[in-house]
Amino acid sequence: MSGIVGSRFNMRGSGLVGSLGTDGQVFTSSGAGAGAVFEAGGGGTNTPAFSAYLSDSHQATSHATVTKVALDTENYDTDSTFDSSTNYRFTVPSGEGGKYLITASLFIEGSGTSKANGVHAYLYKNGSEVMRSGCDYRANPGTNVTPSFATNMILVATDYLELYGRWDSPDSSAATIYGFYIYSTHFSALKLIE
Amino acid sequence: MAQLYTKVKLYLEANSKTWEAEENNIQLQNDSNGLGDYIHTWSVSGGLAKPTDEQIASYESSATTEENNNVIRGTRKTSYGDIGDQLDEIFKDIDAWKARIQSIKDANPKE
Repeated sequence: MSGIVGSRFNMRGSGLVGSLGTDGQVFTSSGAGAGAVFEAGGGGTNTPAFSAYLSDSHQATSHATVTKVALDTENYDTDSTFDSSTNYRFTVPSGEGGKYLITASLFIEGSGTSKANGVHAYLYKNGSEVMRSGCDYRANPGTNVTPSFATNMILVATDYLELYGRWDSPDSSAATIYGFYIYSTHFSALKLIE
Repeated sequence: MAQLYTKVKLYLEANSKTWEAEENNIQLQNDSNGLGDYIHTWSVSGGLAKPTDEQIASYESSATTEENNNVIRGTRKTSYGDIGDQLDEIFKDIDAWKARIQSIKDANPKE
């Protein structure tokens, strides 16, 4: 008969049996003529992972100045990898090097209409720019802009990532990085399963 | 307090340079650590030295004036109106246009 017999799994006809395995394992074929076995399943968890955003406190930024975004609120942070109070950075913890998916967006608005000549979001790795996304509106200045990016990169333990932004205005006026809506100015990363 | 950008711009102009020509050779940065804007990168053509903190501070007053005047320029520009409409005004009655422009300037004097 087929089924669980004691601590064994018996299959009708083949006479093959396998042990029951442990919690969380899946039953997997070992090919024709071989006994199927319980073993660790596929999948896994995409951690470490964090998602941080700028709260309603907003943040002032000067004209033509690359400014770190002070992402002061966390949606989630599985391994306490994001510092949302001092350095506003994600640091890869020990033993968690690998490929990471990184996303960010940045909502900046000037003090009036047609104040945006250019707005850029920068990804900094270990203190240096590694990626930039943005818009150049010098021919027809805009009012507010939300540059964003999604990328993946290989990181090693102690690498750290930060989000910076830059605003340029035709009249050299300053601007505000807004956190009106959750995720309008956000930064997130998660480790990819390999 | 005036923006660091404005003080750097004035420093460049005082040394026969322009921000527009040197923009790619300078990076102003703020690390959100409470220390404010600072000059992160400086590689200006002709070897012009990076300004000292004292030199930057010496532009505080003139930079404030520059920024206040930028606001006034913006107000004037809005009041002048669309350039196409102004051309129509000029075509129809250039003296009336001149009088209107002058009244806007008078109402919004620069410092």
